[in-house]
Amino acid sequence: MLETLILSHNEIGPAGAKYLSQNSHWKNLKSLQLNNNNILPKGTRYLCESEKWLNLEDLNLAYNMLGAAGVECISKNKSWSNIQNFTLTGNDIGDEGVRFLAQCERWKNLQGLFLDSNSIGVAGAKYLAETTHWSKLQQLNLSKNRIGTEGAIYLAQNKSWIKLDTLLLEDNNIDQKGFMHLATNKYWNGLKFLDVRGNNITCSEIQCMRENPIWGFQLMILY
Amino acid sequence: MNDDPDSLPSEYTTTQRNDRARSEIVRRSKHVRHADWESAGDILHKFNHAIPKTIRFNTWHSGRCGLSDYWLRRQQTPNLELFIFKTRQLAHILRRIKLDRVRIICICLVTEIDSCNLDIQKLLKSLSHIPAKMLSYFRIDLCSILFTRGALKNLRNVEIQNLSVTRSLILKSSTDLFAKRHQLQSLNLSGNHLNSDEAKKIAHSICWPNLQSLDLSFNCIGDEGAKHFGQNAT
Repeated sequence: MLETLILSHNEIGPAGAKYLSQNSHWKNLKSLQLNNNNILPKGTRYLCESEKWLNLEDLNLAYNMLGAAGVECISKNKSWSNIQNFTLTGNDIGDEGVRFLAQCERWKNLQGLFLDSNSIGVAGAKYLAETTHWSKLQQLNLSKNRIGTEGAIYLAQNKSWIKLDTLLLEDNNIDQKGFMHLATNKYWNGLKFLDVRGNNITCSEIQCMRENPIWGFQLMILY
Repeated sequence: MNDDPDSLPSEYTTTQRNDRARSEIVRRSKHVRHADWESAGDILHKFNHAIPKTIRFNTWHSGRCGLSDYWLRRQQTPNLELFIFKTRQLAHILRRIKLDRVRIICICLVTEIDSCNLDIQKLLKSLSHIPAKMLSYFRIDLCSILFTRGALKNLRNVEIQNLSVTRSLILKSSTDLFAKRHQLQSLNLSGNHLNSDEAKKIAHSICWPNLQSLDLSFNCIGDEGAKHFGQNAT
């Protein structure tokens, strides 16, 4: 029984997504890679209407022009409760898309969430930070967004990502104040890797983050 | 750290000794010509008298080196992994291979006009004459259409568990070579300019009851191709 299907870079549009979603034999499908196609919100709706892929753990929909509307469809799907890794890179989902995503309370096993290059701003960071149901989250990629200092302050207040070990915040226009707040987080007790390149950070903030007593003592900071 | 493996203290384990010996070979190989690889086997011999379970044999690095001769002489080794790139000395190497022990073959960058082409095809044909021969992994990457088609034809009677034919434009009129591989667990056909017609042929001719992983990335199967795979019952 098929467990992994990789169809990335294949010019698949909404109609193709519909055909794939109609397959009733892939009940063991665990990994579906559809990145770099033209799925669009319409195709996402078809994919989400399929309630046969109950074992899906790894879903990659990067670069498919989904927008917030596509994420709204995803948030309504009820069968993907085993999702562990979800990639939405480069879909311009914005703050509204993050709001829908943050509502996915069924994704209790989520371990990797990749939201880089998605025009996410302060509000999106706030929605993410306020989630309480992703306690298994280990990797969060928010690089190349517009989170800014205010967004970093919201992220710093998160209390639920107790297993977070990788946080990528490259190119987010975060300044020293934002990183000083991040350094005060007391809940990410396994943090091992932090990417802060392309922000406004000095050695002083780096030192503060290294001295956080809760974060992993082998924390690696890329700056 | 002392780079000379001869000077390793006696408390070092066999694994540590092997690792150090391999590092030493790599280190020396960066500074010496191929002829000096003759001594590589001797270095390993000093550190490892045990029989390895698997030999990874890479013609890109080894050429006609003493290292490959050294390994291949060790007939007790159960698994052979062959990584075949262009090499003029391939026939010299292949003559020493115990075919029934080959489990993995990776072939890269070969065309039908390369001098090693016939040697490789001969090797594959010989494999197909071994009763119930099974390869755990067979990979062709960046080879020409004719070479690849010939290789798959020669392996028609060899069961393969994991098959990868990538960036070789193989699918044109060759779908029959993939059709009846009942032991196939994974198939990777990425980067072959596979269009919807070829996707259709594959989707409707396949009989892969054990297939767990299918990679068709970097093709152009489009909505029509997706339709045919969506209808497949594998």
